Amino acid sequence: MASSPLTSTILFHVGPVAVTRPVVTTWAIMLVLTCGSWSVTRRLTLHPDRRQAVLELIVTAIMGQIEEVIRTDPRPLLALLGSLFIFLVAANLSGVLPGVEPPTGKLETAAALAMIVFASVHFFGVRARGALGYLASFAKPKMIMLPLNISSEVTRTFSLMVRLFGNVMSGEFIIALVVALAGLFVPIPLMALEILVGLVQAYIFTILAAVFIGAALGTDERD
Amino acid sequence: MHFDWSTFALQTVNFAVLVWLLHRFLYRPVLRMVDARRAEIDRQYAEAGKCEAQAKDRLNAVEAEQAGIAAERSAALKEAKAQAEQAAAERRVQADHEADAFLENARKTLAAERRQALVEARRAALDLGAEIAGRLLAEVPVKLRAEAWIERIEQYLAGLPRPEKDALIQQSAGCAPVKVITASKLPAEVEGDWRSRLIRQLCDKVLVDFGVDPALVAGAELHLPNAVLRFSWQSALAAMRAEIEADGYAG
Repeated sequence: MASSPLTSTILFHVGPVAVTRPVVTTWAIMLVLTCGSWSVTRRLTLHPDRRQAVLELIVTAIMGQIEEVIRTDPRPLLALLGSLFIFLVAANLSGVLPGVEPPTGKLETAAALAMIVFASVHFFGVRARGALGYLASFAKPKMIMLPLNISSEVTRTFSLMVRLFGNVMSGEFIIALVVALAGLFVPIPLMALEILVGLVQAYIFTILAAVFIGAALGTDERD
Repeated sequence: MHFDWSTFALQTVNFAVLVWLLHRFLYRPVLRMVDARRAEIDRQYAEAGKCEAQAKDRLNAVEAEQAGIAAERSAALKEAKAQAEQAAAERRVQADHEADAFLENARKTLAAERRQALVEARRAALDLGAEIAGRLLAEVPVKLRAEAWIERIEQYLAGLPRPEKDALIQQSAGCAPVKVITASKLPAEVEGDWRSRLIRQLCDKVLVDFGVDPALVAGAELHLPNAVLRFSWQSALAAMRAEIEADGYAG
């Protein structure tokens, strides 16, 4: 019998630390992305070929999307948000491969990403406004909004985590059920839908992270 | 449902590492290349702008040069026109002067030719008159003609002042005879009459001889050793011709 989709399978231990399947899958994704990045960027020229043009198009499109959201220079956020989007796309679509479980379908991965976004929001907010200025922004527009703003910081991070985890996990769960009940080729349309859902969820997670960071930067207030 | 905190921690670290790796191997090289291309584009834009500015400067210089050439051309044309007008005016003045001089010369030539023609006409008229008179005179008998001539000679000699008459007498009283020249041969009778009348006017010792010269037309001349007394038409006509020529040159 297959293990529960809500739990992570432990593959081995490194000392006291248990290494689960999502972690290994993540390492594989990291390896692929790093090697792919290295291979496509080692011979960049001023006169790009088709492959370099596509790569630059992807990077500049991500930058443009970030800039549209945060309304300021997107370069400081490119590494975080661009990596977030690329990793989410890779992770969400990795479920298409036979025998691979998407890491984002596990709660720990989604929580880790949400926690990183949560930390990044405050880091960039403090860096942009200063500690007091950033903390003061929680009391705006009225002091009475302070509890609501603080709670919203937690709840929106929680919603990020649950949304990603729920969508990916549910897709995987349904596909597993259909495979178990109907046969090998029946879940193909569902897998195509899962690809679309994975892309949409990656986009939504990244954009929401950009919105949260942009709000912490206060660019809308300055505008 | 079980939440694995070690997986959570590892995934957090994993993602942080992935961010660094992608930043190192993806974003930084791509952004560096994008920046380099943008800098290259900016440099080319700047260079193009510089070239455009240079082209504009050259265009302005060429336009200024063209304007200068046009102004110079206009000035040269104006100067050439002024010179041509001045030359034309000078030529016109010179032509007027030449025309005036030519007219003056023509007028003078015409006047001189007219005077010459008048002189010639007068001469011709004089010659014609002399010829007509000679023909008419030829119809008059020689005695009558001779009488008129000798009377004139006598009147001249009689009217001479005494000293001049004595001088003539002294000339004619020598060995040389007084020669009477007439236009036609006088009859012997008339010659005798003339000789006696001349002796009476001059003195008894005078020898009178006669000769003929058709050039005299009419009348006679007395050829003394040192003087000639002319009473012929030839001398009168010569005087008239001289007078005519004097009048013609004077006019």
